[in-house]
Amino acid sequence: MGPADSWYTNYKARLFAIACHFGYTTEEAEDIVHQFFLDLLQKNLSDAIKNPEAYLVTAFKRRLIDLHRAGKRKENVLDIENFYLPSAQDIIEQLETDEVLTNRIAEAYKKLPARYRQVIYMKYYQGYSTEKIVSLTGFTHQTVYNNLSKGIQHLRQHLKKERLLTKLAHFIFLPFI
Amino acid sequence: MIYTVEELAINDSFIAWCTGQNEADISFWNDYLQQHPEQLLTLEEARKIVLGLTFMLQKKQHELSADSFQPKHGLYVVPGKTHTDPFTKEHPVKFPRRKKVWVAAAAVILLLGAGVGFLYQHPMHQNSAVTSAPAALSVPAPGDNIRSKNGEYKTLILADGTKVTLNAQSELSVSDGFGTKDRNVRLTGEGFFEVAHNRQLPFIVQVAKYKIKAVGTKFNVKAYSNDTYSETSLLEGKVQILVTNGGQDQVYKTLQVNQKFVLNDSTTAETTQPKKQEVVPLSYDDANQNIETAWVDHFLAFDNTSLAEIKNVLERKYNTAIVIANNDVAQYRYTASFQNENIDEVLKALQLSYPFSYKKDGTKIIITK
Repeated sequence: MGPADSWYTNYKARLFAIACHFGYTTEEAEDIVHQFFLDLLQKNLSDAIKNPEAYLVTAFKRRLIDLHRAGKRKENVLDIENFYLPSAQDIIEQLETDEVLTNRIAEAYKKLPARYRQVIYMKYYQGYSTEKIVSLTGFTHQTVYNNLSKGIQHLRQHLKKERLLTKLAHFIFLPFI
Repeated sequence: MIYTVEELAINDSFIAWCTGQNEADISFWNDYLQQHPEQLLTLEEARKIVLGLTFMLQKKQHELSADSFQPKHGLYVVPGKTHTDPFTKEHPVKFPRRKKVWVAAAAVILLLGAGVGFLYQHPMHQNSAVTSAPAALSVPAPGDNIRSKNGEYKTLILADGTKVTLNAQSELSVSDGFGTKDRNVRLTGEGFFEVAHNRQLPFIVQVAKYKIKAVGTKFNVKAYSNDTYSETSLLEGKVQILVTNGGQDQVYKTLQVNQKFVLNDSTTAETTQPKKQEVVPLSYDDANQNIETAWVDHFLAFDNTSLAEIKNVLERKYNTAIVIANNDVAQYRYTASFQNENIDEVLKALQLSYPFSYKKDGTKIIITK
C-alpha cells in the first residue's frame, strides 16, 4: 500500500483526459495511464510529495513527451510542455499570493447586481446548498438557480473582458517601456 | 448529460469535488471526466471559479462588508438570521487554514504512511460532527435571560434587529425596556454583536467591570468570569467604554476600528476604575482571519496564546475538563488556527509545535510535561 493507490483513484480520470486532449483515442489513453501508474508503483516514491496532483500531471506530461519522441507521435512536444493545468493546490496558492488576482475577482463580483451577489455570497461564502438558499430566501428554486447561473455567467464575462483589457494594455504599452 | 461551466460552478456536488469534501462527489466527478474527457478544460474553468470566489469572499470579508452605508457595493450580507451561524452550514467550503502547525501535522501524517498527500484534500468534513451541539436560533423578548452551555453556540436576534452570537458558556440578559426605553443588555462570557443602527437609543452592553456603548456597529466582547482578563474588540463603527463613577457613567475610552480594549482583572470587584487596561490593535492571522472573532465562524484561532488560556477556550468549546498539571507547560505559547478538528486533533497539533503529554482520565484531560 502506498500513496500511488489513492492517487490512481483520484487522478486517473484527469490524466486520461489529458492524454485524450493530446489526440489519443480513449483506448490508447487508457493504456498510457495504466502503464504510467504501473511504472509509478515500481518507483520508490518520496513521502515528501506535498502536491501529488501537480506531481502527477507533470510526470504524465513527461511521459507523453517521451512517447512522442519514441515516434508514437501525437501533437507537438512544445504544446505538451506548455500545457498548464494547475492543481487545486496551485490555484489556492496563486490566490493566496497574487493580490491582483483576488482583487480582480472582487471587482467583478462587486459589479454584479445585488440579487446575483446575494445568492453567490450564500453559496460560496456561507456554503449553503441551493435548497437551503431556497428555504432561507423564500425565492423559488428556479429563481435561485437562475440567479446563480446568471451571476456566474456575468462574472465570467467581467473577468474575460478585464483579462482582454490587461492583455491589450500590455500589448500597447510594453513596446514603449 | 454534458454540463456547462455555469452549471458546474453552481452544482453543490461539483463544489464539493473542488474542495475535496465528499468521497461520493469526488468519485462522481472523476467518473464524469472519465466518460467525457473532452470536458477537461470546462471542468478546469468551473473549478477556478469555485475556488476563486470562495477564496475571494473569505479574504475580503472584512474589507467588503465594512462599507455598510453602500450595501450595494459591499459584500452581500443577508439580513436577519442565521447567516454567520457556523453550524447550519450544509457544505462548509472554507479552506482549511494552512498554518505551520498543520504543515507539521501533515508531515507526520505523511510519515505515518497514511497517504494523505496534501492538506486541503485532507477530508476535514469527517470531523464536522464536532462535539458541540448545533446552534439554536432564538428571539429573546425584553427581560429575557439567555444562557449557552459548554460546547453550545447561540444566535440571537434581539427586538431591534441586533444580532448576537453567543459563545459557549455565556449568558445574556436583555433589559425590561429593551427596544422602547433603552437597548441595554448584560453579558457574562463572550458574544459577537452586530448592532442595528439607532442613534436615539444607544446599545449598551454591561459586563462585570465596565460598559460598552454603541449606536450601530460590530464588536466582540469577551468577559468570562474565569478568565483573568476581559476584552472588547471593534470591527466596524465606533464604541465607547464607559465606567461608572459615583453613579454616573463616564466615557473612559473610545475605540477605533480594529482596536481592542483589554482589561486585566484584579480580583477586587469594588474598584470602579479598571486597573491594568490597554487599547491594542486587533490580531489577524496569515489568512486575514480576525483572531478575536474567529469563533463566530467556528474557527479556533490562537495568537501567541498561553496554554492556560487555550485550556479555557477548549473546555468551553468541547465541553470537557482539562487540567494542566505542570506550571511550565501552562506558560507555553502557541499560534495556531483550527476548524472542525476534534479535541484530540487540536491537542496533537499543539504537541507538534511545543511538546507536552496528555492523557484522558474519564471525562478529564490531564496535560503534563
